[in-house]
Amino acid sequence: VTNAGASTAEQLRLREDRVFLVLTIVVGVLAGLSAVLFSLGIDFTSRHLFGLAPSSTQLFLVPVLMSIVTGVLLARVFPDVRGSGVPQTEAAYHLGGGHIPARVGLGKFLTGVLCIGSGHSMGREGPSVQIGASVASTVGRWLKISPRRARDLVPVGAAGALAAAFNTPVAAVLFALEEIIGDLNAPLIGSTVIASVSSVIVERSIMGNEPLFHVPTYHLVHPAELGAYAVLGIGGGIVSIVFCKLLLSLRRLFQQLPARTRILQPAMGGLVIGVVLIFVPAVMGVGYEYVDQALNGGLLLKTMALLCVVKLAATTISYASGNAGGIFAPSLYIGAMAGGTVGALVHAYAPFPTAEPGAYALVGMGTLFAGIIRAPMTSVFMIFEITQDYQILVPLMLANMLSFFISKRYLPTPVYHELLRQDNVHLPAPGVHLGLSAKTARHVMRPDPPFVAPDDTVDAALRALVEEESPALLVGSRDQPVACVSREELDRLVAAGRGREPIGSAVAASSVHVHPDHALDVVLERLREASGGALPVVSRFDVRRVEGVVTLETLLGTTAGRRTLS
Amino acid sequence: VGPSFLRNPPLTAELVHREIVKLLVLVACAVVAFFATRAFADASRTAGLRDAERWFIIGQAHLDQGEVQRSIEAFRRATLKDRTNRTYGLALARAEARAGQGEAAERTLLTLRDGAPEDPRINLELARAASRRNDVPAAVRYYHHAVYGVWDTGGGPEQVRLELIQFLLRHDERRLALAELLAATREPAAGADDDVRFGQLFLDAGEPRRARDHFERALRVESRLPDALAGAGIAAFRLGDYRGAAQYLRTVPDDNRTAREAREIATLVLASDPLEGRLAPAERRRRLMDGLAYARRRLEACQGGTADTLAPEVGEFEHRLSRRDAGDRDTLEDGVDLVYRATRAFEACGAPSALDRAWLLIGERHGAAS
Repeated sequence: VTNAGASTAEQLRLREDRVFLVLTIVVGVLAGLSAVLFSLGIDFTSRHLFGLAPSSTQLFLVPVLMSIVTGVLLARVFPDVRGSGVPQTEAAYHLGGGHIPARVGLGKFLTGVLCIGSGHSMGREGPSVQIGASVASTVGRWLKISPRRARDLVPVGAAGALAAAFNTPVAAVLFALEEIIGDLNAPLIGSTVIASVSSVIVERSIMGNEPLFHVPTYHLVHPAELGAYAVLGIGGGIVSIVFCKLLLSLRRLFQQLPARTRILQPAMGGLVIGVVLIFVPAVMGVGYEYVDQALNGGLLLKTMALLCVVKLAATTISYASGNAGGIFAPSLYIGAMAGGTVGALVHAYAPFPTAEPGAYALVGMGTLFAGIIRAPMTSVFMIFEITQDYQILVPLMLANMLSFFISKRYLPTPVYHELLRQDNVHLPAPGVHLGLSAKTARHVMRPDPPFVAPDDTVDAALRALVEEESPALLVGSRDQPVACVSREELDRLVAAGRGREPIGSAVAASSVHVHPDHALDVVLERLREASGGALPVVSRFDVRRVEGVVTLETLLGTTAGRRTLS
Repeated sequence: VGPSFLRNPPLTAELVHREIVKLLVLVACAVVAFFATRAFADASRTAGLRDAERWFIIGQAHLDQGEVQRSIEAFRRATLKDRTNRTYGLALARAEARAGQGEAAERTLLTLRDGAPEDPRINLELARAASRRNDVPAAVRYYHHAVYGVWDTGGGPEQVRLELIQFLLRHDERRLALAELLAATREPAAGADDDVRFGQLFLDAGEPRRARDHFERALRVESRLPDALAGAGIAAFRLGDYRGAAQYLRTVPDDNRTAREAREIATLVLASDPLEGRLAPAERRRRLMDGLAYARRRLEACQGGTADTLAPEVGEFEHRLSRRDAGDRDTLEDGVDLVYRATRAFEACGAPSALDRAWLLIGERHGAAS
């Protein structure tokens, strides 16, 4: 019976591998279809809301009125689908075991179509990624595959959706690895490739084999042009920083508004966008037709400069006000306009022969993508897949890398991660991968520590600690702890005659914390920084939620062989 | 030893069966979703094509009203909505060229050409763009692509070749033009008008003999065709057949300046040449005396340089001739040569008159120029 059982288990494991292979194809197809449908839905909505040549009244009223509708949907029905969808997908993959409810996908589809179709300056790729990942996650759960496999399906679905949304299969695979998983060497590369290919096959069989942009063949005309491309790379890095900072500041401002205004915030964004569209309708929606024009040299210098600035402002307002849509397409748009502007100037004034401004617009797209999204490999391959031309690769790589490093230097946390931080979600730092046997904060923490109010005395806090037999306690409310204090620290305060003092004033407030997956060396380092001799262990999904405390005693208890967490 | 269900084969089989059923359901869902999405995409594409057509019509209307910039915007939207329709792209390029945006027009055309390098309309527009910036090699290359492209309608390549020939002649590329002309006239012309056109081009290319052939062929079809008569007359004039020229040009209206001048000069040549055939000796002497008297008067009015040395020579020849008969050919030829040289000397004193030009031609006709 034992041998038979083991053999059956092995067969089931093999079976699950095969099922997973089939699933990657099916998920790729479904994610591709969802992305195509999403794109068609946006076109359909836009066509029916604006018509062929919209009047000023339409341009103003449509975003406002539709934002009121989406505001209600986003506040009452689908509260988790604001913004891009890429950071949420990353969070689901890294922190939520790949769990993305079907409701999220459906909500993102509906609100995304309404927001982008009604003229908000946002992209369709980010939402496509989340919709694709949601499809994958839902399918995985429905088939009841193992949790590990279900989690693996998230980047597979994301790659499939992005491949179809942008018609760039290689870039989609790289994006899934580089951005979603955070590791270009991830073992999921095969699955993402399969999903990406099956998705692109589906997309091309429906939409035809037309590339997203029609770009003439560009190449480096003169070696001195590399200098001009370097300037573009530096400029792109600066514009990326401006975009990210403005987006994050505006979003923080909206978040600081009273909670009851959340339902109206998208409409506030819609109001601004409505006014902008009256004067500059070219920034409406995804705006790829204007990117195409910039790539083909169809826009004047002044127009490109104006569109670069207005699109940047419009996108930050649309996004920060809580509408559903991404920053992927806007970053390409702003990049194309910024690149085209630089290109037109270089073409007019450089003392050496140069390529057309369209070549700079093309490189500019990759530059802003590398600076904002921080996926330099994806950006290089994406532009390469668009142009299918090796000639532009060298200037592209040069400008992309410069933009990437400048952006990274002055904005260390990528914008997607910073957006999650604003939502109190802390993703693990890139490159942090723990082995299964490694000890982390989860293993050394004391769960469910006691809380005391800041106006309780030090004596009362010490009593609570003794009663709970806890090595440390937290000062403040469960939603907002302000300090973490160890028993040794309390003993020291009592010995110093400060037992009657309110604990809130006796101990210094501290924001130092660790997450459950932090390695022990990080815990030790942070413990040294902590003023109260103890560290709160907080959830990555919500940094306001305390899961436990770590002190030197709990740490030594573990290293001495005593388990503090069963 | 594993979960309990592994020791229960019927339960395992049921799980596997359920898994297969679910996968099949998923595949079925994907197939249905595929066809539904494709139907939606087709509807969307049709709507997009309709929008493109509407933008094209709007663009044409703007163009007709002279609002070129607005027409460019409309055509551009049409091309973005329907990339496959090259008519929209061509309309955009033409509007851009009309707005003086030559570079943009050429970029639009080159983008179009990337998708359809064999399209003669695109190549023709590119050739015209190159000709506007006087880039002869590029223009010739694109004209050739247009000539050898795939034409939907008949007559296209011939028209393009004629345009190419005219372009080459404008840029003084006579040899290239002649080569194109020879290629164009491999097949007999379709009618008198075509022969006249070819004759005119041969004339412009410096081939009066072939030109006259075409004009005469046209006259055989329509004997009173004014352009053919004028062309044949001018061709004959250039070939030195002044009698034929005068005959062809006799009825040509005066509004054709070249023909009128040719007729006048040809008539003067015929009336002034002492060596013209079938003339009485007295008439030859009179013509030569008239020529010498004219030359002397002109030399007297034109002081300095060669004129000063030639004037006594003409006077002396006139004097010699007045005392004896001019019946021998050598004397006549010497006289013609002298009048020719005197006429050459007038050139320094102003534009030649019709008679001057006639005497120059008489001199050339009888080898005085050599």
